[in-house]
Amino acid sequence: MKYVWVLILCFLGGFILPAQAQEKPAKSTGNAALEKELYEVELKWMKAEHDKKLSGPDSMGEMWMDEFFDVLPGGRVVNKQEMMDMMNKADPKPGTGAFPVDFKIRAIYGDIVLATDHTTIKGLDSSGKIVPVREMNVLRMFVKDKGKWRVAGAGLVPVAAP
Amino acid sequence: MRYASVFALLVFSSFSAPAFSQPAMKMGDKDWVALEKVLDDVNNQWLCSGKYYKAKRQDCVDFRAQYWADQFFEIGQTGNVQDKAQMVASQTAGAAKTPDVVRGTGPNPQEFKLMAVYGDIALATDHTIFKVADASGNLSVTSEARVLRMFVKENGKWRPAGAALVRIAQ
Repeated sequence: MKYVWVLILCFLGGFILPAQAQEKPAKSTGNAALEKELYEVELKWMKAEHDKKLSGPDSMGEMWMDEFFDVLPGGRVVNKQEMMDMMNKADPKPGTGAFPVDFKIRAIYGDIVLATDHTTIKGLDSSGKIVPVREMNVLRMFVKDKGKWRVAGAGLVPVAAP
Repeated sequence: MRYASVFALLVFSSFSAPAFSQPAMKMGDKDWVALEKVLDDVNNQWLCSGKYYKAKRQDCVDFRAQYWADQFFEIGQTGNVQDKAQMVASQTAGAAKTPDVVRGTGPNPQEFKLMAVYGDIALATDHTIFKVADASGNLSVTSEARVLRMFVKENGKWRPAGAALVRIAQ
């Protein structure tokens, strides 16, 4: 009889644990570590785009979920393959690209995290100098897939000039 | 010993259960289309659009305050990020200034498309057209946005979890 109660408790645990994860508040003490971890994932994501890394460890192919999608400035929606093709065709110069700061977790739903950051896109001006060409606040979406954080997509919202 | 094996299996299952992130349905299949329809309706309720029109602006704000998930947040068209409390406060202030809503004004969502489902989180996009009415009630478009909309299923019910509004280049 003693074992039966232990078994029932363990069985219930399997349902209660995911439910607790969903109810986790956005501001908990554990968020700082998760925020740091996901910001590092984000920096790898930016590097993969800049370096046109399509496959292998820390590549777009590996880090992005199959259902990955971006809503680009201007409103165009692109899927994983379209975004990888776009990145692969780009000709980024050293020092240019996307530079995210101010990464903040906004919501945690179990294995899904929704975050925002401020991203500056840097490019070259007519004299070849590196300059900011666009400022955006970006929605970043992450999924923990088989124990590893991966990228679900983003929504890139240009910040209106003051 | 037999109990020990069962015990070990159940303990293992309680830890492995949260690993749900692989989508259970595929884009275009029957379940996907059905969920897309449900979420399209949730979207219309969220925006008080179409058959969910509310004549008083504050009624819509009050409804949203109940309907949105607690962790709701939104990136507006100018890049402003607001959480649920901030959204409700700013919309309440707007409702005090302009209490009545002309039917068809405000956000008009169309082209709703479910993009990804991860367990109890669904991600979608739509094309939202914002309209205003002039003094004689004629509607005109003020802006258009491609909106990334997020939904969460809580206690068996889908609710809005947030959005990012990307202005469509004219």
